[in-house]
Amino acid sequence: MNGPNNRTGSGPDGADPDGFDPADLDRGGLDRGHPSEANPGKADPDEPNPDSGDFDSGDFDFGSGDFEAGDADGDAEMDSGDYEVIDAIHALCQAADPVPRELYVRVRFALDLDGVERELAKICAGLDVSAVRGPEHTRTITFECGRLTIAITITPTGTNRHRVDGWLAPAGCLLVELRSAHLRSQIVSDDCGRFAFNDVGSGEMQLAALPTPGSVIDLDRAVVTQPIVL
Amino acid sequence: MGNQPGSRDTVGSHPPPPPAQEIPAQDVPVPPEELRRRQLGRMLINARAGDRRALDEIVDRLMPLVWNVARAQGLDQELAADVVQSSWVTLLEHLADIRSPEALASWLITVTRREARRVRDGRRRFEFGEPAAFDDLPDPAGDPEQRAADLDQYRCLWRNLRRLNARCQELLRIVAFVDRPDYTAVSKMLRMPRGGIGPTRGRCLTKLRSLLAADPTWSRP
Repeated sequence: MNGPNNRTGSGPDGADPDGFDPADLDRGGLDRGHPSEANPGKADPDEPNPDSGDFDSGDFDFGSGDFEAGDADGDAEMDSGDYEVIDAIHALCQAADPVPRELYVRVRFALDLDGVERELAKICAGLDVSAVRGPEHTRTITFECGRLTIAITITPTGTNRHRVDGWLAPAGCLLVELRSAHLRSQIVSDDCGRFAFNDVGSGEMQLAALPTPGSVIDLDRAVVTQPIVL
Repeated sequence: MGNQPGSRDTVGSHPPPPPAQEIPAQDVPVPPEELRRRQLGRMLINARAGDRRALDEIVDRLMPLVWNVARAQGLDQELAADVVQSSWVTLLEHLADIRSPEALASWLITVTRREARRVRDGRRRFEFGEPAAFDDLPDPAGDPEQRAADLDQYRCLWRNLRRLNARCQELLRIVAFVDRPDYTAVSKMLRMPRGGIGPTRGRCLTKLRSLLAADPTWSRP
C-alpha cells in the first residue's frame, strides 16, 4: 500500500483509497463542469482552446502525450501481462454482456431526426427514465424541455400494448403528437394540460408538442422528446 | 527484363511521376491503436461538419465503451440502454465542443457515468450476468472444445473480478473498452490523480492478476 493518502484532503472524509466511495468518484471526473455547459475536456489547460478560431485537422495533436506532456509514466508500468488481462476482461464483457443489437437501432433513431426537425425542435432528454419498469409496472418519465415540461405515465394494458397518460406544465392546450414506427397520432391536451393515448404498441416512440394557435402555452417551435422504448 | 518499348517511363516528354505518398517519413510503423485513433479523429472532424455517416461510425465505434460504462455502474440492461441513448443525444448537442478523440472518449464516459449514477441512486446494483448465464451464450465459432475452454476462462475471470472491490471492477471494465492511446487522458479524466491513477489502476490489476495466478482454472499467464 501507498502510505498516507493525501488526495482526499479536499473532501470531508478520509476514505480508504481502495474503498468504493461514490462521493470520491463524484469529486473525480464528475465535477469538472456540467456537460451541458462545458465539455469536460475544456477544463484541461493542456487542451486545445476550443474557441481559438477555425477548426481543422491541425487542431488535433495525435501525439499520445498531449494531455500532459512528459507525463506518460502513468502507463509506463503497464506490462504485457496487464494488457492480456485487460484484453481478457474486454472479451469477457463482449461475450457475457454485449451491447444489445437493438440499441444501435434505437440510438440511430434518436439521432436521426431529420435536419429540418432538428433545427426546429428542441430535443429534450428524459429525466427519471429510471422509474420502476418492467412488464407489470407503470413507468413515469419527465421530459424537461426548456419552459415546457412533459410528464408521462406508461401503463401496460395487455401483451405489448400500453396506455400513455401525459400532462404538460405549464398546463394548457397543445397539439401533442405520438410518433412510433407504426403510428403517428395527434391529440389536443385539455385545459389542465392532460392528454392520453390508448393502446400504443410496444417499441420505440417519441412525443412532440407542437405550437398551437390560441394556446396559453406559447411555443415558438416544436418540442420533441427523446425517444423511449415502450 | 528491360523496358517494354513505349513504356511510359521511357517517354521523355512525361514529367516524372509524383511521389507516391506525401505522408511524412516515419521511422517506426504506426501501431494499429494509433491508426484507430487517427481514424476516430477524422470521423469526429466529419461528424462536426454535419456528416451523418461519420456520426454513425462514431456510434458504432464507441457504443461498447458507453454501454460498459453504464453497465459498470450496476444498471440493469433496460436502464443502461436509456442512459446510453441519452448520452448519445447529449453528445449530438455538444459535438462542437469536443476537440479530439480522447476528449470524445472522456466526455462520453463522464456524461454516461454521471447519468448512470443519478439514475442508479437508491436502487440495487445489478451484476452483469451470473456465471450460469455463460451456458446460454450463443456459440459463434462452432468449435465445441474451444468454446468450452473459452467459457471456463470467462467463468474464472468473472469469479475473480467479482472479488475485487466495486471501484476496481468499474475502473477495469471501463479501461478495458478504452483505446490504449487514450488511457492516459481517460485515467486523468477519471481523476485518479497522478501517482494515483497509475497506482489505482495498477493496484486493481495487480490484485486481479495475483488472484488469477492463484486460480488453477486460469490458464493464461
